[in-house]
Amino acid sequence: MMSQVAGAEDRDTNLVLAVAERRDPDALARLYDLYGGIAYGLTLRMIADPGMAEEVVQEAFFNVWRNAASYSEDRGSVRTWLLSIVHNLGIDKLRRLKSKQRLDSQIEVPEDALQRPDVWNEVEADLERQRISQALLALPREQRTTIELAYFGGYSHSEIANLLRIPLGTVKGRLRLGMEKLRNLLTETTMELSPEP
Amino acid sequence: MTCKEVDELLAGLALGGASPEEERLVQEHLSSCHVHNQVADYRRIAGMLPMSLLPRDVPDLTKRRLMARVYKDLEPQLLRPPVWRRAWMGLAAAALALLALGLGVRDYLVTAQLAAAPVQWKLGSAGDAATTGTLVYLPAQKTATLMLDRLPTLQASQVFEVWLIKDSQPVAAGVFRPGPDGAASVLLKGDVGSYDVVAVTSEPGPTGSTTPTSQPFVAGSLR
Repeated sequence: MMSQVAGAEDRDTNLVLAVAERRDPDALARLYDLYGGIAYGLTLRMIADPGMAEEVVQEAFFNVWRNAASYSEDRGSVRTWLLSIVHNLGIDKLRRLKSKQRLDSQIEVPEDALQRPDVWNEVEADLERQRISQALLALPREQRTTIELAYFGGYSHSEIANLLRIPLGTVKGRLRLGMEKLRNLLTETTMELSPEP
Repeated sequence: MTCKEVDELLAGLALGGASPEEERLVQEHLSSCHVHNQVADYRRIAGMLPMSLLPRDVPDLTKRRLMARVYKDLEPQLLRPPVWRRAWMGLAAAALALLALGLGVRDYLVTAQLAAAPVQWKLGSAGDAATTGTLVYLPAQKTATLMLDRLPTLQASQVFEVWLIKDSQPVAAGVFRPGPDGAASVLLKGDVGSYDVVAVTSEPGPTGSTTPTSQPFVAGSLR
């Protein structure tokens, strides 16, 4: 497993270098083929609107095209870096959409998000997905909800506090405790999946 | 902002839940305080969360639109004057000449890639330090990456500062601290290729100096 993962990471790093140093469109197309589906899954989860999700994915990969030289292995694997670009653009989009529509539907968001069958109820074939999903499921429900709202919902601390009607300090505490627990649960997995210093 | 206040915000920062102001305050704190070891772990864990989701099939049109933008982005480089006088541009000019002579070089993308090819310089130790480095500049993106190895030990109150020098006038280009392995990779934005020299000094942290206050320990000519 380690060598397969290391091989994939080397492949990804070489593709990013080819984009950065040789402006190789084929290398970008290959990265898209590898991670476009995950990126689209993430943006669909965040935004729900397929058209907007596609826009975010396209923008994220164009961002990779333009800024591949900014990638550094210190910042994690290429996949992590790429998905962080997708996530940041998704959050930007969500925050621009902060509208009446979003506020009106906010009460439904936490339960709906948590009950998505693709995350919580299906038995996943993919080992990595299983591990991460299981780690999330091992969190107390209120911590998981708060992490979900922050990461996938793009809500700020204060918005989550309003949404769940809890003090701001409780939101920060739940996020911290939840991330600490994930840190403990995933440390071994992380070392294996992403051997970083 | 105190260390305790920062610790309360780090998880939210990694997850994207911190406000821009909170993020600014935390980053300011982290630039001079290095006890918050959980930062990297939180970021890595946040980066794993998308992997809990199933990939979805992206419509084919999305890839076609993306690649159309990419090829369009390459095109303008064909029209750029040959202002860059280094070897890569020589190759680009040669490729253009071949194209003009009709010798079979018909793929204009090759020319575009050559025109945008990176330029690389080596940096050498300028004192007792054993530091070596490489600066890779991407003219098309006006972005350079400075990679340094075997950096000297840095006092807790200090930072390393990069200087770009033209006509003997140093311009501060950014501060950084070394990684645990004594190496660092620094992103520089701007027309780095228009300067004469790049150099690195130790300066008071966390923001560095406006002019160098110590001798460079590593430097390289950009000419």
